[in-house]
Amino acid sequence: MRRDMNRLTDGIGAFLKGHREVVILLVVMLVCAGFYILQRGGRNQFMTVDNWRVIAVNISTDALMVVGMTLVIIAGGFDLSVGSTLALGGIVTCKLMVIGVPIPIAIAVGLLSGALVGIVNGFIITKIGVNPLITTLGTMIIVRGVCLVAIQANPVTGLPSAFAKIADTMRLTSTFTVAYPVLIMLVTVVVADLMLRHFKFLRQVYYVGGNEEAARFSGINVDRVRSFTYIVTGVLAAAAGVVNSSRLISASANAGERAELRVISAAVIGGASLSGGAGTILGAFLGLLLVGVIENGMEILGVNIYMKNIILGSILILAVTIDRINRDMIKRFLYWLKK
Amino acid sequence: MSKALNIILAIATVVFAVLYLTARSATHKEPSAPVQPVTPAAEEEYVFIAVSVGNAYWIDARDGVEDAAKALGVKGTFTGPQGSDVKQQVDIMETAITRGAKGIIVVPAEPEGVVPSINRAIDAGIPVITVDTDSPNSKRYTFIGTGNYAAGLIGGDLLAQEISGRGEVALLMIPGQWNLEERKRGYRDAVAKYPDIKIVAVGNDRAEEGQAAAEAKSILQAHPNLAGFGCVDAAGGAGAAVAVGDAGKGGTVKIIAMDRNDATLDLIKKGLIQASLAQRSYTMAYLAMQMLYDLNRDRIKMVADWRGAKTCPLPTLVDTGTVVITPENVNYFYH
Repeated sequence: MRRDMNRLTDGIGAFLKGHREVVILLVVMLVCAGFYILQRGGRNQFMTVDNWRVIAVNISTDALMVVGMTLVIIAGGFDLSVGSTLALGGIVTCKLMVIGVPIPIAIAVGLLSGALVGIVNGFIITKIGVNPLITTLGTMIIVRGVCLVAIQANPVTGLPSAFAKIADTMRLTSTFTVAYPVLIMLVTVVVADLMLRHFKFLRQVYYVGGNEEAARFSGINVDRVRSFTYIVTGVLAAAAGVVNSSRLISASANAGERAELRVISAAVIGGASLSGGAGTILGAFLGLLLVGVIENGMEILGVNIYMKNIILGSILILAVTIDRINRDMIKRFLYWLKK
Repeated sequence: MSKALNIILAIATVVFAVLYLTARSATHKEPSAPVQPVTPAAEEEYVFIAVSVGNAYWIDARDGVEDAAKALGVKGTFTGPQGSDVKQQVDIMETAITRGAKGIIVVPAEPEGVVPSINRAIDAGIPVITVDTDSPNSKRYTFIGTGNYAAGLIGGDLLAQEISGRGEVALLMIPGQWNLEERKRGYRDAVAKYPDIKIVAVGNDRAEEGQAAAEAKSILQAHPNLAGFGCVDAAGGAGAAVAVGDAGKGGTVKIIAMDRNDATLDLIKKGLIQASLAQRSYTMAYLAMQMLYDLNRDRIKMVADWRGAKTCPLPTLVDTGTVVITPENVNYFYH
């Protein structure tokens, strides 16, 4: 009997270890249950459709960046420049619209500006061989500087009213509505996740990150795959900038500040390995959802503002370590409790 | 791989179905409840959304929110993003609107990005007041504060007086942070009135005293005749004081600081900082809370139906002025 129990817990443990997404989903549910129980005044403010809509919209721009960041991390890289690229994409698009360029063309050029940042990152990292951390730290600072110089810290306003439609809400029926940023997020995440699982070209990202030498010997163009991940990330960060600007109906130079850390931590929580070769987009998205839920829940609970960091950090560490907890640790813990 | 995916998708579907159903039933209950019960005052929540909340500048505003909440018997929540990205602020504002806050006080990270959210709150019947930094293009009911440009003007004049209207000066700030850019503009315009004063450098203190000291030291190296520092954020004053002290120029290179954290006050006492410009952030927060409370109870009535008349009874602007802290009055300002 006891042995059966052990086998069962071992089995569950082994399953969870292989399925990071399930673990994160469980943590998200756990955290939700916690907030639901703890919310003040007994009034349900957390588990409402409206609040979940808010959470979804809040993470929608970070989610686009998370998709790219996961690819970069799986390929063994790192990209700190996403937050600055978000600002650049927004500023380029908005500046062009203000001077009368049609909206679709302005957005296309905005996305190209993000691709350009990705090309520069990819070139310096693969062709010159500079460490990704230093390279993207450099481009992060440069791109932020370009944004500041371009608009002299003065937010871009006076955008055409049609541009605000991107952040608008689509009404399918009178009760079922979905905001376009959420739709963009869901489509991007699902499509990218499926493509990464099934497309041969994208599977190369795993081989490059897992064992670069082996990938090279098996005929994979390692530099091309690497550069590709940075370019995708640049374009998606710029796309996030476009959505962000539509939501705020303006573009400012410090948009996307600190986004890089949120996005990288989400990817790692979701199972992406910083040493490369492992991770999924669905996992990274769930990692971001976890961060979004915690931030929203703490707002609703009215957690002391200085306490928030401690709680957020603790839950994030719990989320990455929870599947390392095995039977021995639980036994030891119970033994310790008894003592 | 695809088996794992199927399991995940199945679990995700179930979870979201459960979440959606519980959420639906929760929202559907509301209309059947007895006709809009008046929220008891103790559950009435007012949310104050600051910016860069780790900054000691907000201590006074937080006290103002808490004191007013206590006096009025309501709940006052002090919150805001760690940085100065307006998107983070908007996320918090949307959460406040959705959970049914009775009033929102916001310090816009920049004046434009908050406009859609402020307007959404107003349209949802939640009164919004901007404090410290205004968002004039939004539907906010009123603005309480000095205005950053005005604060910069006063700082520039103080600095000019300290150096007797002549010499080279440097500014310390954080480029790109909107409120500080405005203060810098104020400083520039104030100094422009004195033909013998020249701004020779603008340093980046990155909101941190160590950085401010390093930057001020470089500026002193490059400009040995520097007569004074104008600091538009809280970190600049303390940093410049360290640099000036190390260079043995304490008291000769004049420093005008910003805000009233205790470190700055100590340096005023020591004579390294000549004066600091404080804003009445406590008063801004307290007044805003009081105004929202009165507005919600229709206690302040210019006309019987101000919503119908589309004219808010609150003043258009409230100027809370600035306080100049000098060695004479410094002792009163410790926290």
